[in-house]
Amino acid sequence: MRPILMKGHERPLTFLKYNRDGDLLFSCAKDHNPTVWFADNGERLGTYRGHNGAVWCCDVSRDSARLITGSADQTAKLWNVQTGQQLFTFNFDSPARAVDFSVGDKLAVITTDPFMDVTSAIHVKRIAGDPEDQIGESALILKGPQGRINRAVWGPLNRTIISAGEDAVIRIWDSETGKLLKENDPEVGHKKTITSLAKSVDGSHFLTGSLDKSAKLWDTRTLTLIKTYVTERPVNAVAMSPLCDHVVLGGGQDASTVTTTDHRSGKFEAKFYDKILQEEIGGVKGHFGPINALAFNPDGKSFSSGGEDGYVRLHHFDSDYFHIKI
Amino acid sequence: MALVRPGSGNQPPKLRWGELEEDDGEDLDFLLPPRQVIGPDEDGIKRVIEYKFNENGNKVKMTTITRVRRLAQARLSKRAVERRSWPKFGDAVHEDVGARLTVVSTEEIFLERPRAPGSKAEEPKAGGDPLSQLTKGGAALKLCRTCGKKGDHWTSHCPYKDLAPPTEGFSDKPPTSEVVPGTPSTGKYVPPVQRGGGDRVGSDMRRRNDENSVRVTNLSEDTREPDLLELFRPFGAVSRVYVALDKNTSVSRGFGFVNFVNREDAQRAINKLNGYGYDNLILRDRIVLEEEAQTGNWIPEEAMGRKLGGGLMAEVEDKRHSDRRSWISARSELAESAGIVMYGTTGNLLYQEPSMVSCPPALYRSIAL
Repeated sequence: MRPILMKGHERPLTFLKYNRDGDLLFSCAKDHNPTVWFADNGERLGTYRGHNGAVWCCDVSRDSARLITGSADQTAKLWNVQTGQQLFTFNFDSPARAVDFSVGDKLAVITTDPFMDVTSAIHVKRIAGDPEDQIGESALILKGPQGRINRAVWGPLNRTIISAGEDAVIRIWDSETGKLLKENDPEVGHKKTITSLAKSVDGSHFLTGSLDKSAKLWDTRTLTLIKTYVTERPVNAVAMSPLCDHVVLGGGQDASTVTTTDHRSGKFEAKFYDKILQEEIGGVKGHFGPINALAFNPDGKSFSSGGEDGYVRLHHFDSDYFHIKI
Repeated sequence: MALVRPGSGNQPPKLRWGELEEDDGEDLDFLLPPRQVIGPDEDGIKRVIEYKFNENGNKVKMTTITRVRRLAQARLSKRAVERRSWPKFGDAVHEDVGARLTVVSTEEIFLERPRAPGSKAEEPKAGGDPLSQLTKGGAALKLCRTCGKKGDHWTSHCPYKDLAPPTEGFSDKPPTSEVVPGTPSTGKYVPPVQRGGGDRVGSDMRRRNDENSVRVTNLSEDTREPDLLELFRPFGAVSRVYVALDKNTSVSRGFGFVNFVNREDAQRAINKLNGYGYDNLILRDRIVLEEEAQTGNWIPEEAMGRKLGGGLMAEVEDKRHSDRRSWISARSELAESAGIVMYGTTGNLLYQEPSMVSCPPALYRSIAL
């Protein structure tokens, strides 16, 4: 395959997200402008101007009308996807990290970093149908985990919120009462910071990637460990194929040590693993820095990766990919 | 770009006279004909015609011809089709055709299998350094190029090293042999990769790439990298496949390279496929020799002939040659496509045709034309 290289960002990529139809790709980077691309040919559709810091995460509503972004400028913003117009700004006392729309797009979960004497928190906001009626108050604030919460997503039927972060513990919270329902078994859990979390299409299981050089597959309801994928580099990003039983891990040497060694030893490939057999299928090379973001197109026929090198690489699979046998 | 788009929304409705004075040059742009987009036609050729004033105030017509390729089959929903025609916004509004934010990779990327399909995992991989795996994988790979002994030692450790004539290094390689690791007293900057024996690893890896490389010539124009991979894969693990494409027309130039992990596989492939009829042409395969890569005594005849006599590039984008910097890059591109120089994947100069080095730019141009 010949990947499409998109060089719209000046700084390292942080997050990638496809819309539900798989025709738009949203990219976030440490420069201040989240960007939307056409996912088939990589043409840039537009940028969302207004943030004043690195943008860490984004999510797009099911009808591809709204975009929510979380940024280090201590705000999360709602955007009109089509025009790039800012609809609303949620202000916080510390940088916003992860954002996720609930099923139905009526709620959004936003996590904030620990900053000065403020501890990290998970905020639940109501999203109004009409941006005129939008209010900034949180419906629920969850506190407790130590360190950054790198990722928070909604569980099945919006009843729970799954969070993971620097303390390497995966937690499941009740989204109504804010009660902590489950924590993962520390025996089998990650040993270092969890950097990424990706749900399966049906939401029945999810994948976490960690700096302890492994990725783990968990059952959403019981929080039991299903599979572990061991690799030889810290995992910054994970994605699950909606079509094949494949998981993709991206990562690489820590960005600060990259320049001290040969680029070949950095292991900046996206590694494909068989989801069930936990065996490596192959690697896709190309980035000149660690991979920070991975996303699968909802049709499973292409995936994109974003790296510390500022490039988004969009890969449309060759037909032989779909017949790979272990 | 001093192009004014009359339709852009963030233009103030009323221009003040002060601004008019300042932006006098820009204002004249209203006199220019509008930007025209023709195509893409059935061959996927799209023409964008733009007009602008150059420094001397003359009107210049810029025609950019691009080929639009269909990359993936997609069934789009009605909403997605609608989104396709959304107007650009944000920074994308001011994008001109030359911006090249989105480019298709020139290199074919494969999903690299850790082992041949069908085989079982032998042992858990240690380290993951490709070189250490090579050493472990089979002693047969350890071939000393000084004394020709197999499986005993690397070339750099050869006991007869001093007796052998000194091999010429790559021209772009800085002299590093004198630098003793950990002694910055020489005052010279040593790149981290070359400190403490790192150079040995680097050069070994480069050699490995060149060594088991098979050059395939007389390919048909329709042959692409996946075809070549399919053809050569039965002989053994292939680490890289490359088909030289013309930079401007994307038409195959009739030759390519296949790198094998094992030299034996490369030799077997050559034995089998040299003179093999593929796509109604007869293939010619041979190992790329190291001396050859250095001295450059081989020129892809077909490619050269075609470049010289074919007149493939009748029209040269005047935009490309507008400034000196892009002229140089265009020139090196032309030189590479004419087989005068060849660059490796990392941009290092693989070989250079000696007689062409001092050739004036005009000659380069005439070659291309």
